[in-house]
Amino acid sequence: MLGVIVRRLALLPLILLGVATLTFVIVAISPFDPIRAYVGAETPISAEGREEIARAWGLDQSEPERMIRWAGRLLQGDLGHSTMLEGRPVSEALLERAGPTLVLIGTSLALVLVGGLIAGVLAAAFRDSWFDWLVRSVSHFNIAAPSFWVALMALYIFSVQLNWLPAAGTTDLRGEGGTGIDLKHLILPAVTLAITQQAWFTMYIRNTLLEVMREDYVQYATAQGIGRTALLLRHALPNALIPFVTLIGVNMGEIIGGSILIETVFAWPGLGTLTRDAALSADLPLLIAITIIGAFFVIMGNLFADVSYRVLDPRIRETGA
Amino acid sequence: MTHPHLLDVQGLNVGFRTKHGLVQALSDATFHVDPGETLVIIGESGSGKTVMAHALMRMLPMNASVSGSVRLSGSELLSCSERDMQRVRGRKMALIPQGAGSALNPVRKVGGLMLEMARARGLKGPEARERLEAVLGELGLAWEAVADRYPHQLSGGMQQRVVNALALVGNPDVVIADEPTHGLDPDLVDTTADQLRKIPERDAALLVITHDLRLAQRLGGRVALIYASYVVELRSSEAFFERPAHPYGRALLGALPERGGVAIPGLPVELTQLPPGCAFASRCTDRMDECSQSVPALLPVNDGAGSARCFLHA
Repeated sequence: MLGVIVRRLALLPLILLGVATLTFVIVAISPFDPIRAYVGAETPISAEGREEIARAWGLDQSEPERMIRWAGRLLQGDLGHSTMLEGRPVSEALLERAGPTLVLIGTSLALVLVGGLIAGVLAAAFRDSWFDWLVRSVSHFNIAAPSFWVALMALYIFSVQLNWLPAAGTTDLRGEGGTGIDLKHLILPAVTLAITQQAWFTMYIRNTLLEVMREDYVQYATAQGIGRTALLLRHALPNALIPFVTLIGVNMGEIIGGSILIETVFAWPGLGTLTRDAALSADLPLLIAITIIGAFFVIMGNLFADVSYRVLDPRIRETGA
Repeated sequence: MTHPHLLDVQGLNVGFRTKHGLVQALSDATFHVDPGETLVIIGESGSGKTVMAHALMRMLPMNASVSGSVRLSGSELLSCSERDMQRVRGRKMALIPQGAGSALNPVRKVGGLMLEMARARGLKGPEARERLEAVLGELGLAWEAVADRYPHQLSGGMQQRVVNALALVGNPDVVIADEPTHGLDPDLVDTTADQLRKIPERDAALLVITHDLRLAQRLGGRVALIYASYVVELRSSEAFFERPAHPYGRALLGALPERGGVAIPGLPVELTQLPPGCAFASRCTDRMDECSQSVPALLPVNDGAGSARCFLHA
């Protein structure tokens, strides 16, 4: 098992370098102009002015040159400076925005896991009942509905129409909370992000449980006079949970991607909104850093999936490979 | 009827509703066993014999339709509540599963699993553990050798002993062994047969479901031969292996290498389209006109050692 971890970690820099290069190429050929974004769409700018800005940011050099210089600075632990944020160090901007995103993702992940587990187990236990039907219908709806649409509807209904929850930001700026995150502001974005992920986890638990219930060892346990609840929770569920845990890791990319849309809709000042702004401003240093962090979490999620599988399943744990 | 049989099966029909139509798995199965008796249910794969074990323990899937009667010590099992049935399973009627390896939950340690199953039989606290240790000991296995390990860490022989011990730990009235030698090494077949033979000695009834004719002969007792969902011969084991009474029994034994090794001509009928007459008629060398018109009843064979579902004995 240690071998797997070491091998994957050894590959990590290579993969991240690939991701960085790809991001670089995409931004380089994208129609967004960092200088135009910097000065603003309406402000007239002379050719000399452009050159000056370009020289100051190193944009006058060829793309490969810029890439190499960027990589060289990275090796010294310098992520560069954001053009969009007027030269602010990228690392500083990232640190500031990481908190709200982690809170958002963490909360919705917890909601998805607990809710998905409970709903999935109950749907499997009462298969073909009205509850099962409800869970399946809601899940299919949530899979089909685009996340930004769900977010906008939630915003419209609960914030605009009912006025139950705040529409944007992490806290009430007029209040005494300062720049922290309060629960009221967290509810809408976290629940919406959870909704976009809910279906996979719920349906996965339900269907895997029903599948495992047909396995020989559950049949055998039935023949031993074990009751239905114990069959489901003690005999079937542990086997269904193994792939479930790995699903969390594999879905990391979905969750990170989803958070960008949700943060944008709810003006959540996290990495998601920062990503959008960086992309629209062609802010290369910032964008590459964010992409790399995203890729890092996706890779670690996959590694976690692989490792947890080995830890949880005694049959695989044994072989050690 | 003065004294009810221990297990009395009357006219048991089991069918499965599938998208290919109704699959008839058991037709009019009728037999009984009493304490200390052995009944070996013999059939080819797909003949319906595997359904028997699940039907008796009421563990058939949702799409099964069951009719007839299964009485255990006089009380009807087919109509009792699921709660009562749960108390029958394991306590009164125990199962030795086909494939011990896949019957043990792969993510549970064997000790905890065994304790849970012993407790499901009403054994409490330290008593459960003591009984398990005793039964395992009889089978030549120490509790410590298996308790802290996962099923896949045990050898095939140890896994087999674990499920055998679980079958016996509740002192059941009936033990059903489903294909007990399926996929076993030859030396394990011997020990399994020896262990099975000890079950009737404990005054339990033993029901063995198998396609292994040699195992059937070694176990003795009585034989129920199944062909295409029908019990076609129900006789003492001795009589069956010496003078099979049903043409299918004769053909099946004749297919054994030491008895000539002649294959039965033709293919078994599909369980979705059973003929109105005898299911074996199309392959039978003694076929008569009436064979394709109606299904014969189980008729007594004139040697007094049982009955056969064949017009030859009318």
